[in-house]
Amino acid sequence: METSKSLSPTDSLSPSFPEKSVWPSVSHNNDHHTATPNTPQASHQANKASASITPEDPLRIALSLNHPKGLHALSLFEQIPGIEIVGNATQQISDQEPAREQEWQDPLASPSTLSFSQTSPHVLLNFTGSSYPQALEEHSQLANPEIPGPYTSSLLKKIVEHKSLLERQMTQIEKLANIGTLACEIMHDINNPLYVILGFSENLLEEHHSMAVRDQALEVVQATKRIIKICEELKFYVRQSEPKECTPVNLTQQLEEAMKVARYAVGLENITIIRAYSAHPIILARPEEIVQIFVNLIINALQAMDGRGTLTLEADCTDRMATINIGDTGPGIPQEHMRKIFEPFYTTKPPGKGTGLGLHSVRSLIQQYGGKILIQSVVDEGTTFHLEFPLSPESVPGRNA
Amino acid sequence: MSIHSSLIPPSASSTSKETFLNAGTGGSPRVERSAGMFSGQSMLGGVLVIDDEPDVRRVIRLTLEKAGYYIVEAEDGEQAIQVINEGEHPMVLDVILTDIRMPRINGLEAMTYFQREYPNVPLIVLTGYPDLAMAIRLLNCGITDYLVKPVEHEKLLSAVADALAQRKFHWF
Repeated sequence: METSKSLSPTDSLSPSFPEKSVWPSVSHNNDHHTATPNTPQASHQANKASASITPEDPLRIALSLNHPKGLHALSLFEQIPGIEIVGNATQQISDQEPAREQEWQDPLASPSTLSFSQTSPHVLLNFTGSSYPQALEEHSQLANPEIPGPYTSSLLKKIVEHKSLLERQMTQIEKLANIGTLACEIMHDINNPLYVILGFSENLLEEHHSMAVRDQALEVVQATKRIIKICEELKFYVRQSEPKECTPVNLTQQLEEAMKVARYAVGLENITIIRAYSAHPIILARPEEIVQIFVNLIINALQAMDGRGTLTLEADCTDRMATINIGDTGPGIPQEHMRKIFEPFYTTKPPGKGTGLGLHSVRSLIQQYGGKILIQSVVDEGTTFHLEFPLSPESVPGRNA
Repeated sequence: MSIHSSLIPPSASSTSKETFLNAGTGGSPRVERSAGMFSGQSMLGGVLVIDDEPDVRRVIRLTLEKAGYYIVEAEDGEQAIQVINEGEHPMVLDVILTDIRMPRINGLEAMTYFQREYPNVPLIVLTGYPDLAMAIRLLNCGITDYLVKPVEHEKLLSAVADALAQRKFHWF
């Protein structure tokens, strides 16, 4: 199959790319900015499309998938909230160009499968670089979807891929930033037992009383074990060269792991911790990512309470979803900050204290798992973060005994 | 420096696990002792050790007592102040050796107090978190030395000895 050829700009069969294609005129924000359309027909399409899109209305896309790039784009688009894939079209393309030409002109004759859901798409994305989608449109009498051409589709795909890459990098940066905050405490917790080991060992070189030798050697062993334990608790920060596969993960167990790490950042002496685990839901996930989500939220909660208050951890599940609540009795989040807190680099902490990436990376991680994050907050009373994850098929939502 | 048991009465309030009394062989016995009722006369000097980890205090005590110093322990700044003002030990305070990251009153606050109340007593900071900026700030504030854990016993001993020498100098 002429994969490269199908994207060639000199393809005589590729449309009227300058004539019929329209730059997507919808955005996810409130401003409906419209790029200049090229033709009156295109202009009409653009106006019609922008009029019907509102921020809450997901962008409906149909893809022509008869190309590996189309499939890849499908998998990327599925990850973006606010985009709904409403249909796809596949067509077998023969090797012979003349025959293909004929097919374009008569879509009914082509062995294609076409399926659309009830709602018609806003945009028909063409990854084959051909005029096929136009033919499809005419055939199926869709309500004037926008049809970007091959270059637009390539551009969109590159943008989506790059955004995915950026999201992953942000998550990594956030992890590193966390390490900076924790490093201080970690060093202290490792250097203290190291000093105990050094001090007793130096003395043991000259110690003759067997009881004292045994006594001090035992201290050395215990201090060594303390350091081992610290390293074990931090192992989830070890950088994985490739992302591991998802495995069944027990969410309450990860909450406890996260607590162990969080205590390095904020002392727990004046914090009351309430655990309400009605269930121990299990989801399919990468454990280090789940722990990272929980560590971020727990540290935020502890820092909001400034070391004094009540931290509430809840776990429950329905037949479909696992729910986790992380609550604090801190100052709460004012309404005007609410819409911004998930934005990258938005922080209310003084410089050097917070990167502003925490909640953003938390949300993108949760979305990758098909989950949701909601906030409930009352000023001067506290804040609760509510997380939902789809349960894994094998999970057993056992009730707490 | 050795500790001769003949000068030391048996400890009435032993807090360490085991107390060894040397029978006086004349050699250089290495013993681990609890904080008993020392008169402090044969001692090199009195050192106040402030650290929130009991193991660390034990190691410091072992190292310094072996060298001939009289040790009083406290687990944080608040307790240190209490121990000096109200303690049963006839404390001759020559050097203060303190950590700075502690839960209740941290070492920095305690240091301000000590510099005010006992201005002639040298302060040595011994910390598990090396912070160059903090070290410079503290040294500028007038602390005598800044040590980082883990510290070798030779280094600790020479820092304490130097601080003591400074103190004797200042008395004049």
